Amino acid sequence: MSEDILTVRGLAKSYSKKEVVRPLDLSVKKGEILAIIGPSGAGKSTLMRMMDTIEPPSQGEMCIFGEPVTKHSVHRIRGRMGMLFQKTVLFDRTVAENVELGLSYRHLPKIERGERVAAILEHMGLSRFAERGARTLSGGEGQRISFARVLVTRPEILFLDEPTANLDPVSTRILEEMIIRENRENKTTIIINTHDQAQGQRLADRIAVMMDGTFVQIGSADEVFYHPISGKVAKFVGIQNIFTGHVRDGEVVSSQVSFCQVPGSLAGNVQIMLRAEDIALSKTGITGDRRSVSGVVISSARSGAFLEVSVNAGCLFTVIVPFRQTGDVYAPGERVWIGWRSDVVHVIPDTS
Amino acid sequence: MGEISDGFIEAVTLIVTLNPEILEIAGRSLYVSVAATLVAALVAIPLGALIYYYDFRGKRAVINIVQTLYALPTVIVGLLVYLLVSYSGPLGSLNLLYTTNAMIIAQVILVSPLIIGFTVAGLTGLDKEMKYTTLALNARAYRALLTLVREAKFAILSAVVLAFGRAIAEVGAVMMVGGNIRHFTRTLTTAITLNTSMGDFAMSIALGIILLTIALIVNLGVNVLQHYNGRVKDE
Repeated sequence: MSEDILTVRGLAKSYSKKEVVRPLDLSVKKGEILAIIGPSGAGKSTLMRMMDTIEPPSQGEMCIFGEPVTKHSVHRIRGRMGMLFQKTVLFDRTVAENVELGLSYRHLPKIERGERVAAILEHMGLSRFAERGARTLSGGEGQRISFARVLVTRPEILFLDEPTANLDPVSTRILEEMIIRENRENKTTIIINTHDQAQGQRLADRIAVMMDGTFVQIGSADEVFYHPISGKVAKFVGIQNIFTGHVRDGEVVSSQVSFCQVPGSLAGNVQIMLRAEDIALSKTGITGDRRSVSGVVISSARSGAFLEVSVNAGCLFTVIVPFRQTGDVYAPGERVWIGWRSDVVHVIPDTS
Repeated sequence: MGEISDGFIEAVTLIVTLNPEILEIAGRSLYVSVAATLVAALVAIPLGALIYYYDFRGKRAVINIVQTLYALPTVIVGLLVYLLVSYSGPLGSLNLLYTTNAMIIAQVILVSPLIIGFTVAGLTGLDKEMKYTTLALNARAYRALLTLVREAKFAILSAVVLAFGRAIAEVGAVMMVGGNIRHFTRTLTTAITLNTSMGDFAMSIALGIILLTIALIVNLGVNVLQHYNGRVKDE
């Protein structure tokens, strides 16, 4: 991690008066993996196409590889970057010809093109597909070929626009491993768009949350997932317990439930956030240094290997517990205790 | 009734005995229309590709105008080319009036909009990520377009075949600028017009059968191409 390889200032895009990307700033360091997470329609794809210089911005400027992006420098700069799209694009030719495309656009000699294509397919374990028609591949294979087509041009910055959104979980894992390997082996700077916040967490050094066309929070995974700056971000990163409350006698309180001592100098109305998996659930009572309240089970539902239980304890809490380990059944109407450590409660001023 | 059935019998005889005049006329028709279609394709496919590729003010209007020109009346094209190549027109010094070259020019004008429009439509029908991919792989505009045109080849080829069908079937423009001169500019359509008005039905029917056969083959070709186009899309 050293100097900024890409900086963006006031970049924005409108289509016939509709602002898709609102003026935003961003700096990305060499070798870093940055995930841009946000709901569909937040402007992530448009932003990414602008940064890859394949779509002109309506305003703002970019500096990539230490050079301002201008009409004269754009082709040279774009040649050192690559982009993979959500929708797999394969041309109606063989796999090898598909992978070769970027090299032939760069006018590399035929022999070198062949060698590099063979090497990248070998490296990615795709050699057996080389002479197949590209359109005969499965979704996961096709996206890996598209990725090979980008990597063979040896990009220094790699843009990945929801690369696994159309893939099954196994193909997703394979591609994620390839992405991490590319970053580790070649120090490639990677910017990845995803609506899957867990994927952002798995891959990225840093996470930028994009909503309504601009960044609302940029930080480490811990900052974004445990200290979201607004209720909206909190909801997006999967915090299920968000309550409005207020500060009273040095305590953060909502509906008679006392969550924690006031952190810092907060006063007045606040928003209280608590991750469902940070809450303990018991039929007999909570011990230790936890805050605890008792309540009544409203409902419980299986979600994969977990049990999601709704508990009315003055506030309506959602609690997630591993299912197999407990083996317990929580029936509606049953009295239970829930508890949490006060340091996992995230409190922000309520500005709404 | 007798006249028609006699005409049919005679027409078939003319065709199977390879009547030299019929062969000459059919050959000329094919030559003019194939040449016109090829020239039109050479101009119209790149033009259509450029219209697709670049975003410019009034693009929508241009595409609308091109589509309107699909139905360009052949006699209007005839009049236009006549005015261009007549002895007092801007191209008068080239002595093109009443030549096959004038007929080719007329048909080029007639079918170019069709090929331009279908090229734009065929390329627009591709995933937009395809264009993005060529750009992101750092293709210059002409390389990107080569890749994309190749990808839309079935749609574009069927436009070319359709254009040929329109060219070989039209009569107004070639009559006006070619003059239907025997052994020089007479084509299937102009010959049918003349022979019918002269009451030589056998000749007309024979030429008509040939024209219909060509139309049938063209239609078959379009169907085959669109089948392939559909197959590419499905995958």
